[in-house]
Amino acid sequence: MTAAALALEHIRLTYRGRTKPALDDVSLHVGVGECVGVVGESGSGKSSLAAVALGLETAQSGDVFLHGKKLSPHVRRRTPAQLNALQIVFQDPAASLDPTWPVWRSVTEGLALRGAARPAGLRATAEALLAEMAMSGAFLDRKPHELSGGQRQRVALARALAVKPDVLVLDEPTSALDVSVQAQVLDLLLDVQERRGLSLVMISHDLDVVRHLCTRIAVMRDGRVVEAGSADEIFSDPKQDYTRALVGAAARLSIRR
Amino acid sequence: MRRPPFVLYAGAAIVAALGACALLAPWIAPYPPNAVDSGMAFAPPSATHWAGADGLGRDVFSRIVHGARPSLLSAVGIVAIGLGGGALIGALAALIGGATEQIVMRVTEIVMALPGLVIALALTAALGPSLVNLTLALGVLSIPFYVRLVRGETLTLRERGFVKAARAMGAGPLWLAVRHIAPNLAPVLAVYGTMGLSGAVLAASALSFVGLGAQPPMAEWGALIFDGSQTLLTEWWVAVFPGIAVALSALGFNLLGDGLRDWLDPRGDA
Amino acid sequence: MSAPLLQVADLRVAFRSGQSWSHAVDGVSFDIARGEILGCVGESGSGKSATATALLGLLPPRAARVSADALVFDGRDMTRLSEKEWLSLRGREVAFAPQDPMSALNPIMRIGRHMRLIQPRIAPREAHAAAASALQRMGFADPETILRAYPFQLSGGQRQRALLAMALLAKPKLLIADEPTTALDVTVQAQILDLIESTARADGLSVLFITHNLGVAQRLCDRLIVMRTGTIVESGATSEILSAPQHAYTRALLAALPGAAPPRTRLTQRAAP
Repeated sequence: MTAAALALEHIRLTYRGRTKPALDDVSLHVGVGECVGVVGESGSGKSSLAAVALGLETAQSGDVFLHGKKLSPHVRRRTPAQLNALQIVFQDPAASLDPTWPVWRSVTEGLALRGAARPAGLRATAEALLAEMAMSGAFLDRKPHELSGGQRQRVALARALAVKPDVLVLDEPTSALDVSVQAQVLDLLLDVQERRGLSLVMISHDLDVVRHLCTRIAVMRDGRVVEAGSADEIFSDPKQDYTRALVGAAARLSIRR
Repeated sequence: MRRPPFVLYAGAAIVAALGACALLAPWIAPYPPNAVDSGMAFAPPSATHWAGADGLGRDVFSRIVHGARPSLLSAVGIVAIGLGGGALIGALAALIGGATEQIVMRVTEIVMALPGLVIALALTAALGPSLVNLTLALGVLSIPFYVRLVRGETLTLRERGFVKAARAMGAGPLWLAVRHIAPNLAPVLAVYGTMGLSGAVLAASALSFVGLGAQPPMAEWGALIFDGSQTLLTEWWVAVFPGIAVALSALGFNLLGDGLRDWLDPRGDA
Repeated sequence: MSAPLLQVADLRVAFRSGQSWSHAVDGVSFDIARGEILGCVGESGSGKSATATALLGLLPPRAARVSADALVFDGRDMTRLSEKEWLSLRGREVAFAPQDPMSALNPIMRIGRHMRLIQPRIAPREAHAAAASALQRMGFADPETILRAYPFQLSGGQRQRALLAMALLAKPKLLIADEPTTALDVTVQAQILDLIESTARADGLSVLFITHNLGVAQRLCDRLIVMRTGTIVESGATSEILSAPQHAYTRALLAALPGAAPPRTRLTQRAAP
C-alpha cells in the first residue's frame, strides 16, 4: 500500500481551559490525488482537524504524516518544503485576505516568505496565477474590499497554489458565496485539482458540495469521526443513526427533481 | 472614504496652530523668550504685552509661544516611546504566545498597578531633573497601556484567515507583526496615539511644574505655570495663560483623536 | 374567493448613493393569499431583503425611497400608514423572523422578559402562560427553562425557535422570514422549516419566505418568485418553476446546485445551450 498524501493518526486535542476534547482520537487518510470530504455540524471539530493538520493548533497526542513522513506538530518547526506541500483556503472571504495588501502581494506572500524574487518577478507570478483562476491582471493592484466574495476566494486559492502544494485543505471555501458563484468556485477547484494532481480535504457542513467533489467522506460529531466510507456508502447506506439523520435532513433541504 | 467629521477639523486646527508655534516661535513671538525688561515687571496684559509680563519683565505670550516646542516635543517623545515600544511588545507577545505572553502580561499588570505619575516623579528625580529624562520616564511608564491595547487587537487579528494562512506558509511572529498586524492596526494606533498626546502634555507639564523637567530659564508650559503660581492671586496672568495653553493643546489632541476615530474606524464602514 | 392578504404592485425601493439614487427593487408585483407560503428566491443583490424591509416599513426614510402603485395589506393601504400605525401593524399583524436571531435579542434580557414586553396589555400570569405555550408549539419540551434563559445560553437553533415563538405570539396574519435558517445546521434547519410549515398550515398564517436556497424553497413554499437585480424574472407554482424553469436565470440557478448534478461534473457550462 502506498503512503497516503496526508494522514492524521489518533489526534486528540483539548483547547486550553476546556474539559471536553475538540478532537477525540480522530484519524483521517487522504490518498494521492483523492478528494476526501469531512462533514459535520458546528462544533463537530472539523475545523480543528484542519488546524491540527496545518500545525496551527498543537494536539496533545497523535501524529500528522505527509507522504509517510511525520510532520512536527508546530507549524514553525516544519521545513519550507513541508510547508509548501500542505496549504489551506479558509471560509470567510472577508477575512481571508489582508485588507491592507494589494492582490499581487497576497498571492505571492508564500514566495516572499521564502525570500524569492523582487516585486517585478512576484507580480509576473501573481499575474500567471490569477490567469489560472480566470482573473485578469487588472486585479493585481486591487485591494480586497474592491473584490467580490467569489473573487476573494479565487485570490485566496491562488495564494495557496503559489507555493505548489500537493495537498490542499479547503475549510468551507464556498459557504459564504451565492450558489452561482459557488458553482464557479467548485468548477475551478475541480479544474485545478485535475490539472495539478492535487489531493484535497474538503471541510464543509454542506453535504451536497462534499458529495459533488469527494469520493470518500468522514462524518464528524462532537470531536469524533462517527462514520467514514465512500461517498456512495455514506449517502445511500449510512450505518450510524447520526449519519442517517444528517443525510436525511440534508436530502430534505436539497433540490429534488 | 467618508467625509471627515467636524471635530477632526477643529482638533486639526488647534494642533496645527500649536505646531506652528513650536516650529516658528521666533517669527511668531513678538519678543525673545528670555528678554528681561525690569521696567515691565508684572505688567498686566496690554497692547504691547498681550498676556502681560512676568516678575523679570519677560513677555508671557512670547514665552508661551516658545514653550510650545519643548512641551510638544516631550509629549511626542513620550507617546513615541510608549506607543512604539508598547505596540511591538504587545503584538509579539500575542503572536508568540505561551510563557512569553504570560510573563509580558504579568509585568504589564504590575506596572499598571503602580501610580504612574508618582513613579515617573521618583524616576526623573533619580535620573536627574531634565526634560529628556522626564520624557524617557513618562514614555517607558506608558508602555504597558499600549501593550495591553495592541495585544488585545492582535489576538483578534490572529484569528483572521489571512493571518492563519500566512502562518500556514511559515510566517513567524516578526513577519506577522510588521507586515500584517502593524498596517491593520495603524488607524487604531493613530487614534490612541493622538489621544495619548493629550495626556502626555498634561503629565509633562505636571512634572515640569514640580521642577523635574525643563530647567530655568527654559520656557516650558509647566515651568511657566510654576513661575506664576506664587503670584497667582495678584499677577494671575503669569500662570493662567500658560495654563490655557496646556488645556488648549490637551483639548486639541482629544478632538483630533475623536475625529480620527470617527473617520477611520473600520467598524463604522458597512 | 377572498382578496389576497397582501397585494404588491410595482414596488420600487431606491437607496441613496452619494447624490444619486440606485434602485434595489425595481418594479416588483406579487400577491400573497391567506394561508399561502410564498418563497422569494434570489442571490445577493437581487433585492429580496430590500423588498422584505420595505414591507415591514423599516427602511430609513432619509436614505431610502419606497414607492408602489399598490401596497395593500388586509384591505389597508400600507403606503399611507403613519409611523404610529406601522407600530401597531408590525409585530401584531405582520411578524418578522430575521436571519441572525442573536442581533434581534437583547443580550442582557431573559427570553421571558422579551416575551413579556411584546404583550404589554395582558396580565402577567396570562402572558406567562401564553409565552410558555408559544414556546411549546415551537418544540421546546421545557418552556420554563427557556423563559429563564438569557439569549447567549441558547444554541443558534433554540434562539431562532424562541424568536419564532415571539413572532407568532400575537397571532400575526403574515410572517416575513428573511433567511431564518441560513446560519443553522442542517438538522436544525429541517426542524425549523417543519415548525414554520405546520404553524402556517394550522393557523392559516401567510408567509413570505426569503431564501437563496432553492432546496429550502422547494421544501416549504407553495409558490415562488425568483428575483434578480431588483426585478422578478419568474414566478409561479413551486413545482412548475423547479421542474420546467422558463427563464434562463432560473435554469442557471438550478444548474449551479451541486446536489442536482452528477458528481464532479462542471456546474457552470451546463447552463449554456
